[in-house]
Amino acid sequence: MKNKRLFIAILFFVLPFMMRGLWFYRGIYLPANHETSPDFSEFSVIQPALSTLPAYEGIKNGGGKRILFDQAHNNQYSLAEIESLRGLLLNHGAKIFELHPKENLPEMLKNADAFITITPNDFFSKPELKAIEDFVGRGGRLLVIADPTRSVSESDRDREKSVNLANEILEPFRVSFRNDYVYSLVNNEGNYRNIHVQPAGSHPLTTKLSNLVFYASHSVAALDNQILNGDETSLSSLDDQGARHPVAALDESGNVLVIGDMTFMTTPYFQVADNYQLIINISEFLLEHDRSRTLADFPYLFTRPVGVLLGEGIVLDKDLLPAIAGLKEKLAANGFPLAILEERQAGFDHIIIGTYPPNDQLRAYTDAMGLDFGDNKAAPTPTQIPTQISEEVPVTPEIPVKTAAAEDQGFTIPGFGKVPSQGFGFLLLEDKPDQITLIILADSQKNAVNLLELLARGSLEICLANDTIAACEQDAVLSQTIVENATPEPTEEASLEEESTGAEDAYTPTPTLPAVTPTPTENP
Amino acid sequence: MKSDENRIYFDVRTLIFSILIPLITGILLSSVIPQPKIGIIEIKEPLDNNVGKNVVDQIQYAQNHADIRGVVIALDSPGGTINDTELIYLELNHLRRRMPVVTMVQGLSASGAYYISLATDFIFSNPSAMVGNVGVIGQIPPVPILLEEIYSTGPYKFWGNPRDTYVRQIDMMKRSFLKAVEVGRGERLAVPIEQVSRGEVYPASEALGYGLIDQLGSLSEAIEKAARLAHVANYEVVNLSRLVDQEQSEASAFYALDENGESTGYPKDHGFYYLYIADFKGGLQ
Repeated sequence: MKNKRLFIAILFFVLPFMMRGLWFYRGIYLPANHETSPDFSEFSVIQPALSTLPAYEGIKNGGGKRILFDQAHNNQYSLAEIESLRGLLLNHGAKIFELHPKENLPEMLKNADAFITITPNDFFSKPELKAIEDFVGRGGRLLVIADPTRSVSESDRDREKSVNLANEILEPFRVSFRNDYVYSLVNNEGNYRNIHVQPAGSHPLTTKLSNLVFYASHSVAALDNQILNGDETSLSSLDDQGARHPVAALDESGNVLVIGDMTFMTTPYFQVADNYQLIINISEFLLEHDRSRTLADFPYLFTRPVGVLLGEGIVLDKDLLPAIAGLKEKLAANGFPLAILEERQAGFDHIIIGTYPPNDQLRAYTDAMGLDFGDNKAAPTPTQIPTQISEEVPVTPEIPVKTAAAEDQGFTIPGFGKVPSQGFGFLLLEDKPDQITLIILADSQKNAVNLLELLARGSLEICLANDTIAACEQDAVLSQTIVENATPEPTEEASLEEESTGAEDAYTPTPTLPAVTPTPTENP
Repeated sequence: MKSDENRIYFDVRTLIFSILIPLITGILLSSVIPQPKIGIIEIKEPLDNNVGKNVVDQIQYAQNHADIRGVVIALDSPGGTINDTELIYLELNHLRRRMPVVTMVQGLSASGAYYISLATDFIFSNPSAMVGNVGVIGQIPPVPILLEEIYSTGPYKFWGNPRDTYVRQIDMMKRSFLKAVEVGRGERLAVPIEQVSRGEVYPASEALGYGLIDQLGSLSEAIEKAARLAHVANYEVVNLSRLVDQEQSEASAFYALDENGESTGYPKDHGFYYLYIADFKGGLQ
């Protein structure tokens, strides 16, 4: 009985606990028995691709080439950043110039073999765009680099600014940047935007290239001549689609190279994979070519010291001497000495001053250029060119088609048609790889002198001109000369700020006429 | 007659000593069985040092108080520093061994905030909330320079690593984030992990289809879910931030300011972030 009461007591004592417990708690929480967090120790930094820095073999024809770097269009880079390319160019004798202000572009392109604009963020004026197009048309090399990480914008509407500006330059060349970046989530170099890049085909620019890494790159739109592509996992940010997007390409002429990334040239990324080999290939692309010179390039026509040859009937008198002195000053400002020679000399470019109708010495040139002076005199073969020109004069073998000019007593100039036989002076340019010859031809010594002065002033815009021939009306030349003499030209030259290459100029111009003796050495 | 009196006496005594007293005593003493509580931890700011410490304090409070039987994380955050995100993530994973943890997304659960939710048992979201943005952002340090007056004992003493290594470390952190998604969501994840790695932020309804969250719902439903997982009823809901002694540390701005005093949308301190920057204006210094 006693036990029974005790049992009842315990039961009633426990009952509230049970009731309260069951009121609140309906079961037991069992934690998940599976893995709930990653094993963080399994993650590590993936090491970069091994560098394949090559031993550099050198460039054969790079000496003396003039490379113009754009620094005038709010370009978002510094030359120090691309020391890998700049150093290669300097080491191989190239001369590097920086463009600023941008108004100097047309003038500086006259003296450039290659023009490089990287991440421009300021507009190119129409004259600049035209100058670039003409420059490329004459065989100048153009390298345009854009970079998705180097666009400056003051508003969201400006985001595409850099690409649009670069594409304005590229419009005539049928190649353009897309306003995107190429990425790969699958096969990348430490980050989705660091993509693996492979050569797209066989081209000097892809020599010895196997695998490269670009660090955020625009894709480029090119009909053909693709140089580098992203790999098969690469996608464009425009549509998250595609594969093997081109990131570097050439235009149809092969003179315009566009690259969608500049970071691959910067430290330390130029050392990754085959990136440095690509920089070598780019430097060779910029240096290993010869662009043709045109009259519009004056005073940067010449690549060697200049020798003046006086044609038959031309004497060094009080009028001609100052004119030559003016020309000498103009050329000296650009590093080319001028000397008066008695005959052609190797290692010189030449200016020949003569009167027309041309004698046999000059007729080889005028005939080769298709000029018909209406006298029906046959041009001599190069071997027949006498006396003063001791060196063989290269002549295009085809004799120009004769016209009816002789009957009209006028001159026929290819591309211009007929001009009167009197009252015109001519500038004729022959650009050969080993020699550049400029011929000044007028009906009298006095007019030849006027023409020479016009040339020294760089006022050829009054002449009817194409790439190699300018026909200048003597009256206009004379008027121009009078005006120019009345208003002295500012002595300050256009700003051509050359970077120090560490090498002495090969030639030292002598300040006095009549003759200079060039130092007979070449750039190392 | 005496026998009847004894029986009455016995019944009264039994009633008093065997029933009433034990029952009353039991009722009184049973109050030691606490009413279960579902704790709410609110995270409604970018995750920085202060927020991280406060949240960890609240988690530890729940850990150390038996009446807290479940926790609901109320999220409305773009994420924050990797360090603080991971501290909270690991602390929540530890808490889950003792009680269920449920996430309620109330606006935004992006990047580091979503990382945190991966350490919970169930993710609710209101339909218009934004979820996702899996990934890392970081600003690499400046190019190392040598100064005449300042010496260090190694090339990376100042900066810690080559600049390129920072990029690779960011990628390593991204991979651990993606792994946390895989582990946290398990078979519920309905899209390839590569898609998640794109860093997109989705409306909750879309995120539900991708398996990034479990259900569209309200805070009440999240609380009920936590209670169900904890097997408790008639619970009390408490805001843990009110139960924790929080040190009053001086709040500092998380985002860098421009010259006009306006937020640039980017953190002011260099480092790595699990952070969603919806109104990034650029112009990093």
